[in-house]
Amino acid sequence: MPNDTYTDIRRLLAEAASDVRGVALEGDRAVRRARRRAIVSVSVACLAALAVAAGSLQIVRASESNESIPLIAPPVTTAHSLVNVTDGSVSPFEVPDGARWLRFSPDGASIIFVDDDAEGRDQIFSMRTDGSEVKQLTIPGEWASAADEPAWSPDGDWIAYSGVTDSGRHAIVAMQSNGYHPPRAQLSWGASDARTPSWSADGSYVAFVSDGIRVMHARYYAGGDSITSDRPGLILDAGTSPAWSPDGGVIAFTSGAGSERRVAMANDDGSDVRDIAPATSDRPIWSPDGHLIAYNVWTSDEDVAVWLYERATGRHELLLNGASVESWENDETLLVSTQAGN
Amino acid sequence: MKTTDGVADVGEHVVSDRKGLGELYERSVPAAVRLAYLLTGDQAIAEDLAQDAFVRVAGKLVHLRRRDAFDDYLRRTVINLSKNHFRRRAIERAYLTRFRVVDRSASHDKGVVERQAMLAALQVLPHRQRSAIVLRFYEDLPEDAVAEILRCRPATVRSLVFRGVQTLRSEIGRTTDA
Repeated sequence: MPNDTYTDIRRLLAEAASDVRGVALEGDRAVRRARRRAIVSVSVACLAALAVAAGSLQIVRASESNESIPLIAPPVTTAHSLVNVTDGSVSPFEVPDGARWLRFSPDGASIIFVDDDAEGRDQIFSMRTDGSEVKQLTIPGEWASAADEPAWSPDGDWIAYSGVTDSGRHAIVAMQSNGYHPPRAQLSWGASDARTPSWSADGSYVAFVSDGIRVMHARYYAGGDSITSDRPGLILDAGTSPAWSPDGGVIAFTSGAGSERRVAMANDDGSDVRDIAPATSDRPIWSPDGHLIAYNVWTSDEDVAVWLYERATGRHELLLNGASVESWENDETLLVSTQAGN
Repeated sequence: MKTTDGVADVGEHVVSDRKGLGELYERSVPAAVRLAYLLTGDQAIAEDLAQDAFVRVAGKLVHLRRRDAFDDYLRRTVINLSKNHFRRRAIERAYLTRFRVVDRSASHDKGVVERQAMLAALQVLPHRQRSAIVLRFYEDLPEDAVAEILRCRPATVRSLVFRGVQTLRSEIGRTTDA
């Protein structure tokens, strides 16, 4: 490169791309394949519509009916695995293609995850852990155009997530586990660009990221069918991916950034901050019994391994290379993504 | 893929209109091939990826409502397919070896050497850095658009680009000095 400038990179990339010779593609064949796919897609939609008309499949707006949206099961992928942390055994776990940010319900019967809707926007879906009953829980434009980073309340009745609001920024929004949003569903009022919620052990507080880590008091009303919140308060000036310990009192989180990021812990009032893992570690997730924290350790942009931290002894142990943490199914079983770089 | 002109034609009628789909193919696939070429460094692989991406995205045509949604989808799908492609690390290593042999003997013309050095250096980058560099500097997308495609934050894009440029610098310097 003659000069270390972005202009040179732009020029060289444009010139390199122009080296592509006349594109000799099988256009007709590709068009036929695309058309077949599109027709199948339309046909499936038509069949679904007919089924709705026949009353055998009820597609309804979640907010109007207190029901979620049933979907035709998408193709599945086995890019996720369940790992037994006691004996190290690994078994594949099938989820819909593209599913990410998977979180088991507290009772282990279902799982929520983020996937693209038909227009490529992040939305939250749920399904039974056997792969049945896939449902889209968030409806674009209702409370948020896109929804990400869902977290279960400890009792499994509520899901908090990071939604993109009309302002284009993220806010913490709460919905019932069936997708119903109460009237005051947006919880993180007064906080800008709120991400990655985590509930306290008794469900009365939610921690989240917004220019540091903040905590807000969740208040339930209408017999527990609705929720609102007090104004959030800042407990840590910096940090991401907060995870409230199941026994309360402590929040694990990622401190620092870039090559200096690492898993740390603090009391839930922000005091006694201490690092618990080496650099380039992130995304701590507590086991349901609070004895272990699973977290990622990155050795490059694409090389990641899952490690365990035992709270009682302070011991760290490598669990699995080439995987990143997703969610605990129970005290012994951890769901991991085996897609490199994710 | 930089232009979105004519995307208003994308819609349900295109699905039933083979000519419309063909026109969409002619308009969008060459740009997708060029993007895939920068990501993979191999035209044959790039053509396969672009064609596969087109088939996948066009199969969802009726679901797209935004004017520029088709190009966004196609771009993202090319990125994802190229990532899947390079997950097969053995193939990647074999390809890199082949690529570098061709690179040295291809030409003594300064411009050609620079371009080939750039392509070779790109392939050395981790996938996310490579994608960030190509999307930012070839597709000329703003950081937030790149962040959306790579599913990360704009700050992460800045970091990926910064580290990618550093590696490109050293790799290209090493190649052209040789």
